[in-house]
Amino acid sequence: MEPTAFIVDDDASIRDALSLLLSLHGLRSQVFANAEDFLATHTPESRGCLLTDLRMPGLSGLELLAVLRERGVTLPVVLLTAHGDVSTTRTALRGGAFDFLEKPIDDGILLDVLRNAIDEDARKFTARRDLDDRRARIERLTPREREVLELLGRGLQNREVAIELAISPRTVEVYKARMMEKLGCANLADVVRMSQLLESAD
Amino acid sequence: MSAAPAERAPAWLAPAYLVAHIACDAASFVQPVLKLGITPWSPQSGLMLAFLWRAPRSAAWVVAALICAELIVRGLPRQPLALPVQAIAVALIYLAATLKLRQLPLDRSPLKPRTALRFVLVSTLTALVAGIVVVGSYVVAGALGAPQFLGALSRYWVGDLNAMLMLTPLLLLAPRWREGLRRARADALELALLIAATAAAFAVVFVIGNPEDLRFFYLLFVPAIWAALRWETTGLLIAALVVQLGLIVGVQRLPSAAPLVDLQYLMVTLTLTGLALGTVVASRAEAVRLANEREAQQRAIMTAVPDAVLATTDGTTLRSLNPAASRLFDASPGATRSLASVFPALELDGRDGRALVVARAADGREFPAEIAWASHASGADTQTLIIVRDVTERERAQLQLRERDASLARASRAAVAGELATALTHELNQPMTALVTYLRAARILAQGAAAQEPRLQPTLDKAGDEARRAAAILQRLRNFYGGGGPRRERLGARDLVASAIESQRRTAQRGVAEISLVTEDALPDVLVDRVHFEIALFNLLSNAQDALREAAAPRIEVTALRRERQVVVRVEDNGPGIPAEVAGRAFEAFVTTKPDGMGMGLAVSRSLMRAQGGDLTIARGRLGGACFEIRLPVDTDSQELR
Repeated sequence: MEPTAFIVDDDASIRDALSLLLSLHGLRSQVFANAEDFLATHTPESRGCLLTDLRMPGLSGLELLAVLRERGVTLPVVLLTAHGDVSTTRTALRGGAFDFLEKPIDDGILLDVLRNAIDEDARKFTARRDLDDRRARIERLTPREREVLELLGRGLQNREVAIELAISPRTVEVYKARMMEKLGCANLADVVRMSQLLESAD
Repeated sequence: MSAAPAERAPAWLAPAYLVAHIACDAASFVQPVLKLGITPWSPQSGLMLAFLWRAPRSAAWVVAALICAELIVRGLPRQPLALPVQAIAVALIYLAATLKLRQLPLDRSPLKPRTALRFVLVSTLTALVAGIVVVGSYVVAGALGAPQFLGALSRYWVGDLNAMLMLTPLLLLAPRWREGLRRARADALELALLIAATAAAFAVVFVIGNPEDLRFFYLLFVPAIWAALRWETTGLLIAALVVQLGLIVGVQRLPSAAPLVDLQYLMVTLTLTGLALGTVVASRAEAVRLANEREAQQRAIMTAVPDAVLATTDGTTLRSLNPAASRLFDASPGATRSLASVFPALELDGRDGRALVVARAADGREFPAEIAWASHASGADTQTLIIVRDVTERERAQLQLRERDASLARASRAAVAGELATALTHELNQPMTALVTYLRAARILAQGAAAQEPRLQPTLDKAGDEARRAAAILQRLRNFYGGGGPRRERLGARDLVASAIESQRRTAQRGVAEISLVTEDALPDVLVDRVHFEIALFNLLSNAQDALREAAAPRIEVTALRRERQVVVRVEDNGPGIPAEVAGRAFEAFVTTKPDGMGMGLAVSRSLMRAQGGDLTIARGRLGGACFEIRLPVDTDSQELR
């Protein structure tokens, strides 16, 4: 899905101007007049970032941020405010805002921030997809293969694993080869990394 | 008005009277006319009058006494039936006189001139009527010849009158005899001299002078007048009684029949003269006593009043009349000051007046003084009294109040300006943001046209810079006014609200409704900026006053009560209320229902209250009009204490 800048602002002129400016810089954008409309159309597949005004009728920018975090949405949120208010800024950043912009907005800074936010979102997305993939692979292991993975992950040698599992070292070799193939591990370092995932999954 | 005593006469009084009446008649049966009961001295008349005065319902005893005395002293008359008739008639006449006399305070000492005069008139008339009846009855009965009527009447009248004048008041004073004796003991020496003088006078009248021509009778006036001057009416009556008894005894002892009747007329003259003198002396003494009392009272007032009292008779020099004046104006005791030196700018015009002037104290201090003056005749001069009140403190208090009101007004204007700046910044920043953004977009769009018109892009850049400059100005404006935060202090909630309302009453010229304040008894202290709270309450009260301009029975109620960790100050009125279309936006800037309003009041008030941890909201009222609630944070330290 192509990354999009979702713009939430109650002022129609600002929505219009921002989406025009972003489109001229080659950024896809989608506008909403209030937080509720955005929440209604938002899906987990949405990629990009959220640019929202702080003061709005209905849900405020900070409240929207809180709702998103509560739902586990990791979309980066950039807040727009009419005037820099130290306490609001602190609250926003503690609440997990990506960044903060003061109106009127400098377009250079705006584009930097938005691109950073979109990159961040993409990175998070990739990382999560990778993680999900590796977890799926672990799922495919047989119980014996899992045990071998776990013991190797703890730093045991093949011989020690054999004693631990009361099987022959050769059989350990077989399990290890099959397990590494299933997980796509090229060397022992990969195996150790995968085993950490195993522990956290328990 | 009856001056008669309210208590009942004791039971022994009537029998005692009866005995005394008979005894007096017997003792005074001297120089009678044809052995009839017509004597020039009949003390029983005074006894009768006094007895009836004390016990008017016991007239039957008087009848009995008259009959008994007649029978015992003079024996059965020739016509026995006339006796009871005569007795009843005399008793009735005396009873009538008594009823009249009971309206007079005869049992007081000394007698007042008016009382004495009435007493004399009633006694004279009583003796005359009784005399006509008694003497007339003798004539009718044939006991007395008609030509002797006038002579007998004269004797009877003077005898009765003398006895009544002397005896009745003295007998009515019986309850105070003991007190009189005490007083006599105090004046014992003078009394001894008086008695000696009286004895000497009698000696001259009866031993040296010829009793037949009464040449020296006037000497007897001396002790009587002496007694009247010293002991007023009571003294005179006692002296007259002594002279009377002395005369009777003296005349009895003379070999020839002296004309007692003539002496009795002189006695009446003596008694009346003395009585007149005694009452005048008494009323003079009373007047002097009253004057002394008034003077003492006036002196006490003068000492007690905090104001200085000055007096002037010539209009230029001042005299201090009381300690307050001496403290303020007297450099040294007895020194006089000129009016001009004390009040440099005062003209005393008219008989009385008031003025607010500058006064100068003895130590040179000048102070604002409220003075009042009034003139009155003082001998040939006119004295003017000037009362001076130092109003320095009052003026200072008023000045402080004015300054407080003025600083509140300034703070209120500043708060409005601040809120205005905030609102303006917010409202204008939005279009400014859109403008800047559009201009950046336009600049990108203009890249394609840069070849045809090279000035287009720099122009758009300049337009963007200007828009940003305007936004920066707005920001500075807001920072300038938004800088001063609230100065919170711990204040008693009740006092805070009450003094704010008082302040509003003072400054509001257009108030139509009275403001009533109801508070809980024990309100905690709150932690607020006093001026900011007053601004908010002012706004609510003046909104209410404006809303009530057309109301029939305008009413504003302010209630202060505690709600958990807040004090709620509720302001409600019975006006038309907040229109529905405005209610949702009432606290936004530039929203107003008044034709000349700017719509800042509620916005300012709310942001001031929120800045100190309180709030301002619309509430549901009970009076039918608008209702607002200010919530103030309770001072938590004081919460523990209460």
